[in-house]
Amino acid sequence: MKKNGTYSRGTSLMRDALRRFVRNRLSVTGCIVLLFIITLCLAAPLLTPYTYDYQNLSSGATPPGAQHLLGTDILGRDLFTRILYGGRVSFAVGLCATLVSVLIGVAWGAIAGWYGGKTDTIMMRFVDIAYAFPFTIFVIILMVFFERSLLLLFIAIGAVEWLTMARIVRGQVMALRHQEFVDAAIGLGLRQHQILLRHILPNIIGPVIVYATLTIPAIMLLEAFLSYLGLGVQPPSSSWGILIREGTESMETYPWLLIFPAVVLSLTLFSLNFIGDGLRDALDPRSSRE
Amino acid sequence: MNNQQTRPPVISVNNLKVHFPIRKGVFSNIQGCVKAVDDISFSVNKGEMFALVGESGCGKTTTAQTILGLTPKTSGTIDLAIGPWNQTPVNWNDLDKKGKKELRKHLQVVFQDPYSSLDPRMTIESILEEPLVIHDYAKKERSDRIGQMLSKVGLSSEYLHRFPHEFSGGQRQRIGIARAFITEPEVVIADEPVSALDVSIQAQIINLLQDLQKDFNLTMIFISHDLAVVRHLANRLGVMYMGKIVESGTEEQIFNSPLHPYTRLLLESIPLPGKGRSSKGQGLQDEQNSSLSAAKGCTYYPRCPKRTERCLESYPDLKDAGESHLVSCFNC
Repeated sequence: MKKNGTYSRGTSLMRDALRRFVRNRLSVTGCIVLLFIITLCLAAPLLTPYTYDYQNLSSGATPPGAQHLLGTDILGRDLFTRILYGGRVSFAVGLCATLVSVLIGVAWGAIAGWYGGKTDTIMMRFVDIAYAFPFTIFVIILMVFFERSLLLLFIAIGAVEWLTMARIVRGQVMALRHQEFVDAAIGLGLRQHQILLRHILPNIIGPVIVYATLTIPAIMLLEAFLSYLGLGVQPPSSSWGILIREGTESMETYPWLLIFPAVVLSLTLFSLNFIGDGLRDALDPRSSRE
Repeated sequence: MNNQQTRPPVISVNNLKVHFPIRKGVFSNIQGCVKAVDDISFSVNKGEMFALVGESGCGKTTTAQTILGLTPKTSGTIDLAIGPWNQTPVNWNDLDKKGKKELRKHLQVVFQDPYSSLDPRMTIESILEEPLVIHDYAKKERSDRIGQMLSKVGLSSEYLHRFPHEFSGGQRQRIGIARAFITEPEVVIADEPVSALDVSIQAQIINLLQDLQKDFNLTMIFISHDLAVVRHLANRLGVMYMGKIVESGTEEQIFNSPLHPYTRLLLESIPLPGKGRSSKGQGLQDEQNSSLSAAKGCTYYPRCPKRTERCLESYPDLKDAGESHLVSCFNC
């Protein structure tokens, strides 16, 4: 496997996938929108004269206007600024925690599904137990024992979200393990880990990507829930989840406080889902629509 | 034949048993076992095409898998005189990882199902390149061999960058054959290579295998449930029934003077043009005995038209009916 440089396999599947991905308009649009939102969030200090915790208590909640593009909240904080800074937190939590959950989930599920038997039983019973364990208590314990930080939030969320991924992957691997091409690979003299990497993983990538794109929004909302309990992001910092929650509370009197964060979150989620669909189709040679 | 006696048989299987335990209940107690392969012996000489024939579930594929080292055996020995071991036969248990890899280079397999035997995510080029990469061929040689092999199996090199789903069953089987032959193995086991294909394609694939066998001076085990397929193809045949070889001999012996009632049944069920099925259907009316039972008598007893009291008492050992024509039956 070290002599990978001369393998034509990786490049040809990837090149093929890229070609198909670029041809899919929805997913390309999704990419552009997502990149645009991320750029805005990263460039926040250049785009707005306010800081996320600047308060103008005397102005109170003002509707969108020239001075405050998207209006201000009850404490007189600029909503546009808070959405941009909140986006940083939401993206960081969403992407990192998803990455953690995908890595653990795929590895766990693949090993359980591949080796089967007792290994599988033990590993999957562990997953069942972890499922049954109350999530909030788990997070509270973590927060009590360790210092509260964003990193811990990633770990806490990632440690819970991988369970479903592990189950999905295990099922897929078990189905693939008895295909003849796996026997063929053993017959050719490949080692077990090589078969997992070269034959099994590429074949389960579809469901993994789709589930991962669904995990990102779920995690963004989970973060909002934790923050509401005081276990997540602390005021005056913000995140999209927090903004939406605050917006819901004053929905009738100050609708813009709900509408704008919700629109941004929805746009992001739409983009992510389109990208996910596009990736899944692009990576499956059978799905070409030519 | 005599000139081949100078070296040991390429494959020699002795008293091979492969039993699968049946587990039931909460604690997975072993409730008995399926005797998929039950005490079979045969050997295959250099350059020979040996056919294993029998109905589904009789243990042909398990035998092949065990020879290939894909399924562990319960007892018995499989000695392989292949590649660097051609004077001193080895079996799988003797070898370390490196040795096993080396052995696999010389012992390849063509699978039954051309759909599941190719990784759907790999291009034809990667599929054919994989065995060469595993066995450390240089890059230049790899592409040369892939080109040669493709033309040998009758595929155009413009197919290299396509994926398996873009091919028909027959073409996929050619790809599977190319993959098996690309490391120039000494032995190829073809596990029902044509039973998933339609009849017009079957002939092409069989011709292809025959040509390749001659080109490479190959030793082959050809597994089939259809005697008609192996006729004129195999030098010697073994007929399997419920985990045992019930008759073995040369192509001539089996086709012209079959002895065991089961072999006769198989031959009679070959449809002939103009005559329909020539079988009188005898023997098929009885329910097949379960291979789970530990009956000490002949396993073919329930279906046998020639059965006698004696057949219930013990299993007939293989006896020589002349010129190495072996049959396990008391009454023929």
